[in-house]
This record gives sequence, structure tokens and C-alpha cells, in this order.
Amino acid sequence: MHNITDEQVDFILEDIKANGVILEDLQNNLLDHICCIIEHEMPEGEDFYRFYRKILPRFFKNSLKEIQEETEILLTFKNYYAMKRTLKISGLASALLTITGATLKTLHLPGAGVTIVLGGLLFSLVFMPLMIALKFKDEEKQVDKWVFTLGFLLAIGASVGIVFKLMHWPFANILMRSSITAFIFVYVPVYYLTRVRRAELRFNTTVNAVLMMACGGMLYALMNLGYSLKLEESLYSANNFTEASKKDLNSASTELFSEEAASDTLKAMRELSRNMQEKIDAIKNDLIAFSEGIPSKKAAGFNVSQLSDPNNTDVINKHFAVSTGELSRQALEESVSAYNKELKAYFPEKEELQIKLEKLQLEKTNLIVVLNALSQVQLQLANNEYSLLLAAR
Amino acid sequence: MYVCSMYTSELIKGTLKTIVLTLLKENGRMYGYEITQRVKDLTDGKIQITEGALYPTLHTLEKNGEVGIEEEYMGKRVRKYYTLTEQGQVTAREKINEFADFISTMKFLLDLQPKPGHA
Repeated sequence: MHNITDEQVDFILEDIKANGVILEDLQNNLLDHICCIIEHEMPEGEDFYRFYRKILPRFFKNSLKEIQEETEILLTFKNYYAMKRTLKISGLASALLTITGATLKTLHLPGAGVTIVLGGLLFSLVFMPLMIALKFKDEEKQVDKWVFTLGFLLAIGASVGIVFKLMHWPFANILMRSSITAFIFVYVPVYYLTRVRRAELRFNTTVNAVLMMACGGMLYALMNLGYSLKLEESLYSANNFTEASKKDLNSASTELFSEEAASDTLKAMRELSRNMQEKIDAIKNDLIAFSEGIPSKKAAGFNVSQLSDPNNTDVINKHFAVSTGELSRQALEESVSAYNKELKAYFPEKEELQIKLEKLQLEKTNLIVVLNALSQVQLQLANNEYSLLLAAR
Repeated sequence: MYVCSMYTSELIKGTLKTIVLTLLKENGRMYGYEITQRVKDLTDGKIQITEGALYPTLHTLEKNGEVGIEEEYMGKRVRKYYTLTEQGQVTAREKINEFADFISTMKFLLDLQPKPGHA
């Protein structure tokens, strides 16, 4: 048995490294194995280096690096199957969650949001990235790898955008619009042009491109859906009607009111009512000014049909509902409560004239709805004043 | 690059994992060179596992958690001893059963079993 020296061990290790084996585990295995062969099989008197050169080809066909490549292939294949299994499970789960979420949402049942978000995120953050990885591995042509990657990235953007849109989260529109636009006008043409020239793919490519164009086009058409124009017009006319009725009632009250004949109670109520109406006008002007980005003075006399963004929710949810100033929702509630208290003190029998502000929607809604609600409050104030004046005659 | 022997590689391909797991099951812990020598001895040289096939298989078994390793320093070099894990014991049993079943199926399929009356 040949006793191997430390120099010989170093020589073998360096040669293994020089042959391109970089996995340390494998280097150690090969080193020990080669040392064992030399120790057990080298004939007495044989030259170490000659024997080493003679036995080395036992490890490979062309080069020593093949062992490392073979190891990597075996390990990658294991990941490949695990990825395919995860792809199937995540795909099925996201499809089931999305369908369940959509059904719950349509039926206005609880749990719709969380189900649809889980489905959408599983689809865009697990299923789609795995598709990219697998396509990158499976597709032979370099151009196909990149084209599919582009398509899947845009699909991720679009699906995240749709989930955000459904949940009313920020950046939904920009995500959806940019992804779907790029999908239709960049990806589909690129997909078609890179594949249609290959005879074996021509039919499938044409069918797929038409399907993608049709689906993308329909999503594109859905993207800009807001309130219908007819619905918006009906809200404007309701607002204008309320405003006109309020004006008529206020004029009728002015005609009915006589400084000399009116009791002190009636005078106080009339003043309170007018102050309240003015305060509400100021609140409306403030909301319009905030939404339009103009000074409050300019907002006075602004007709609701002139609003550039009647569906603005930020002005309600981030300004009116949360601020604490004189023109906030909180201040309005306090004024209405004070009005109700006075009314009850002066006219305890007129319970029906109390303003029930809690029945109006003043939060989690948009500008036009709140403006309409405020006009309704003003109309009731005018109506109360007129009925009290009429009763006093 | 696979298993070198008097048998064709098509015949033996796919049995390497079974061979390695079975040897480890019977011998406790073994190192790479020892495995190749044991197979050679047990089969009178009919099956010789090449190093190019053995180490990728051992690495895969290690990554799968089917074999564990113990390292021992032999002077300047490290020797890795392989042992079966619990999962490896299960896989070894499954592989042996599968292979036994395969052999009996092949015997039947290729009509290799002595038929009664022919004896």
C-alpha cells in the first residue's frame, strides 16, 4: 500500500480545481476517492504522477467537470419537478379563490375582499413568476424566452392592478392601464410576429393572438367604466331641484315673516336656521374649492354640473370626514345637534322637525353625494322655517 | 458516465440509487471508494460503479435528506462517510420492494420462470 504524502494531496486537490470542479463537497469526495485508489491500487515502484494520469480518466468521458455538471442536473431536476407541482397547486388555488371571491362579491357576501385578494396575489406573485422560470427553462429559443417573460410580467402588472382596483387601493389605474396597454399594443404584436413565420406554430399563434387581443380589448373597454352619464345627470338634476325648492321656500318664508308680528322664539329660530344654511353653503364651497383646487370665493355659485370630478372621494374621505375645522363634518354635526336642541326647547311638540343627520351618507362616498346630502339638510332647514312661520300665522 | 459493467448501461440505469441505499442500509456508514469496491466485490466485478455516476447520486440523496454525512479528517484530506437517515431507510425499503416487483414482472413478461411440467 502506497502512503500518499501531503504534497501529493495538495497536487491532486489543485488539479481537481484546475479541471473546473468548484463544488467544495465534490472536491473533497474526489480527492479522497483518488487518494484511496492510489493507496490501494498503485503498484510498488510505479511513479505517482504517471499513475495519477492513468487513473483520472476513470472519472469522466471528456473532462472531470462532467461530474459536477451531472450533479447540478440531478439537483436542478428535483427543483424543476417541485416548481411544476407548486405551479399546478398555486394555479388551481388561485383559480378557485378568484372564482369564489368574484361570486361572493357579486352576491355582496362577506369575505369577498380577502378571497379575491388572496386569489389575485397567489396568481400574480406565485403562479406567474413560476411560469416565467419554467418557460425560461423549457423554451429552446432565446427570443421565445424573452417574449414570454415580457407577456407574463405584463400579466402580473394587469392582475395586480385589477386586484388593487377591486379593493380601491392606490395606483390601481396606473398599473392596470399601463400593463393592459402594453400587453395589447406591444406584447401581442411581438408574440405574433416572432412566431407566425414558423410553419408549425402558425395556426396556434394566430388563434392565441386573436384570443389575447379580444380579452385584452375587453379589459381595455372595461377600464374606463365609471358612473353612467345618465346616472350623473340624474344626480345633477336632483341637486338642482333641491336647490330650487330651497330657494323657493326661503323666498316664501321671507314673505311670510314680519319683524313686528313674530315672537322672539320665532325670530331666534329663523336666525338659527339662516345661520345654519349659510354654514352649510360655506361647507359646500369649501368642498368644491378643495376638489377643484380653486379659492373658496370662486366656488360660490358653482353649479354641480360644472364639477370636473364629481366622483372625487379624497375630498370627502381625506378632508371633510377627518378634518376638525369649522367646515368639517364634525363641526356640521355639532351645529345640527345645537339646532335640534334649540328647536326642541322652543317647540317641544314639533318632534318631526328634528334633523336626523345620521341618516345621510356623509363618509366613504364621493363629492356629488355629499353635496346632495348637504342640500337636503338645507332644504329641511328651509322647510322647518316655513312650516313654523305658517303655523304662527 | 453511468454504471460500467458487463451489463449494458440501459439495463442498469436507474438502479444505482437502489444499490447505494441498500449498501448503506446493510453496512451502516460507508465512504465513496468503499461503496464502489463493495459493489465490485459482491458482484465479482460484473457491476462496477463509476465515480462519475456515484457522486452525483450521493449528492442528490444528501440534498433529498435520504443520507446524512459524517466528516473525518484523514491527514490533509476530508473523508465523507454516508449514513442512511430515517427517510432514507423508508426510501431504501420502497426501492427494494419496487425493484423486486419489477423483477418478478419482468420474469413473467419474458417468460423466464421454469414452468411446471418442463422440469
